[in-house]
Amino acid sequence: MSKYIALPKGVSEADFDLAIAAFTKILGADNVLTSVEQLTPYRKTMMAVPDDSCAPSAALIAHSVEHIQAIVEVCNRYKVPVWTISTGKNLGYGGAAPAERGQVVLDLKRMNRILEVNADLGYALVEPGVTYQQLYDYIQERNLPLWMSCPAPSAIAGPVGNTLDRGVGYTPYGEHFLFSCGMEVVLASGDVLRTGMGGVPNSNTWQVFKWGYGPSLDGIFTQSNFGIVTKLGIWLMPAPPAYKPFCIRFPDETDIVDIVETIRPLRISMIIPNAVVIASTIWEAAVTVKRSDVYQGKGQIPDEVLRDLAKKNNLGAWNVYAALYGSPEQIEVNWQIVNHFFKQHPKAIIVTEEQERDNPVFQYRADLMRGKPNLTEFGLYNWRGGGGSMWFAPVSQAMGSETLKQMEMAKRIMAKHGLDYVGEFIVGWRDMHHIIDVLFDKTNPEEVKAAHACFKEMLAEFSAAGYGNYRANTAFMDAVADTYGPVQRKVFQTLKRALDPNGILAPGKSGIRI
Amino acid sequence: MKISRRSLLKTMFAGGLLSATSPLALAAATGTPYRTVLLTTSAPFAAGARIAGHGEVVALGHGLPDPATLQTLFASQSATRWFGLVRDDAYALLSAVARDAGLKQLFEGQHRVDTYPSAARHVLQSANDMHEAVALFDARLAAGIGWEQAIGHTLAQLAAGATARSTSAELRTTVLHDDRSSSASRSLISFVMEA
Repeated sequence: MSKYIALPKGVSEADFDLAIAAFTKILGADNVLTSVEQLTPYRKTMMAVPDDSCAPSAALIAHSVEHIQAIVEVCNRYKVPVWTISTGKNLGYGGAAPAERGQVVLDLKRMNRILEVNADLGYALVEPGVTYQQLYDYIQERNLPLWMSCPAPSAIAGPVGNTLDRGVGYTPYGEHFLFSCGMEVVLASGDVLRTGMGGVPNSNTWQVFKWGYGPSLDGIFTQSNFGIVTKLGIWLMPAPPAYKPFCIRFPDETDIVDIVETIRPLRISMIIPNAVVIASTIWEAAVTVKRSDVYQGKGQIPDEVLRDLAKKNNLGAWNVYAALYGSPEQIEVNWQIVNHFFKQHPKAIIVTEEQERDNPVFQYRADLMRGKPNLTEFGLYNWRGGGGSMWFAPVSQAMGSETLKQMEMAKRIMAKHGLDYVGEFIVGWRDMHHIIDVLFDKTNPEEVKAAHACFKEMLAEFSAAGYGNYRANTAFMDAVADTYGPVQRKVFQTLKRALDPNGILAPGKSGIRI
Repeated sequence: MKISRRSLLKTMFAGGLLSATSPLALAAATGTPYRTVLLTTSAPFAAGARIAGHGEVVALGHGLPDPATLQTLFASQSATRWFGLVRDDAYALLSAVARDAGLKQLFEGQHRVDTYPSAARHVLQSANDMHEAVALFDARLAAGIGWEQAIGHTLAQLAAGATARSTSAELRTTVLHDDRSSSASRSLISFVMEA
């Protein structure tokens, strides 16, 4: 019986012993974790797969770029695969666990320095272990006139991990990768690459000009396994003189068509400049209500129960959150425009922060749209209970008919598997991220099976209809990669072979292997 | 490993430990090589622990715990075992913060009671000297007391260090099934972590 809870694929225990000894020499024994009780926190996921399938062989806590360079040298020597995490809080997409059993987790949580915040130019340079809360506190403590953008359950997550996974936030800077500028990357060779202007010695434009000279490389280090990002520049928004968050509630599911048709021109023209959220009833209700409080039957929660839930909790079938930013005069003008368009829909109920000051649901959304991190959305985990959650994330055109079609497809398939539709749309400029939380009880084998089958069926049906997922949990990365066709996969593989010939960096990430 | 609660160890613990004055008092009275702290969002558990005189009880309240508070709690404690009973959202946060703090996870129990169909499941994952926790849970549940109370008593007994030591390095998963009914579906997570 092995002394390790798992071994990397194709690596003998004798070779792994040598690798562990080498890691220990680099990091010290306290930073090389191999015991079952040390690794249990790294194997737990919320996905509909056994945690054992994600069991790491070890976890390494690196503190510096030099540590990472030395670690990749050892990994190349013994062909040991490493799965890098920054803070490891990507819960609905796999958490801290590696994609494949036996991979070594490289945890960068201790590389948590905020290296620079430039208030004049509005940017920060941070390491992977920096959390959104840490950056927010840094800005507040120094009273800097800057706002950051963060995702929904964000206090413990970090900008590097979120940006590299192409996550989104809710301010006008909500498309996080778009608002990043400059990376430092440790390559599998041990070389340290600085992208864009970072290649020029003594450059002070690394965080202000994205493109540098020649091909732009930053994109290939997102959702990929071509290198280990150790520093990232992110742009911060100048704190506006005034801010007006608001919510518009619509009572019927089919109202999504009117909502999107009304919002699109306002969003594209930047009257509404931020990433608007259109949240369904359950997404909202889960902040304060559990499923068993309103329904104890089997199967998907019936529509009449949902309507009653919405009514009792002052929610819509759809709840639109957006905000206006700028001078008070600018906001007043834009507010009149927003009102003009939405008041054409008699069913729309428009509410403002003044009216909703005591509503925790409104307040957490208002906080997110000003870049204040919180964890209120964790309430979703109480909706059904049991610790199962997988985010299904297809992209849609910002067209009303498309969003209705996607919602109806998802709801129908989820009903077939006895699961509730818990969804929201996040409006980009021309696209929408449709985020569906497949919530299930992981202690119930039947629900685990149903959730897995549901996810698989949604993936097949959505891709057949031409809808791709923009992000995937680690259990479905290959399946999602397949939906983008063989040529993309071949190009990714070609790049992988060139940059990481031994395939030591996160094999399987986004379906990419040598 | 799957075990039916009714078939295991019903008699093994029913006499001695269950008739002891209070397991929580036992926790307070027994010397352990580490400090023990109870951490919970369960009001009955927190109240029971306080009545029994358990020295350190951190009640996390109804809302989600503040991450900074958890970070401070975990960072400042060494040679401490944390025994907890919390909701799903609190556990998602707490386990993530605990990992950041470098805590080891010795035990995790996912306790689920459903009303339709009426059933209770306890999925228990144990490492090292916590394997015996499974048998303790089984015995408590067999005693016919409420499931939340049974979990609380078992945690208190574990906190007292009244379990046999094991050198086993394996991670064991055990599922206990129970046919008790409940007026409302509930989901709670128990855990033991060590700094």
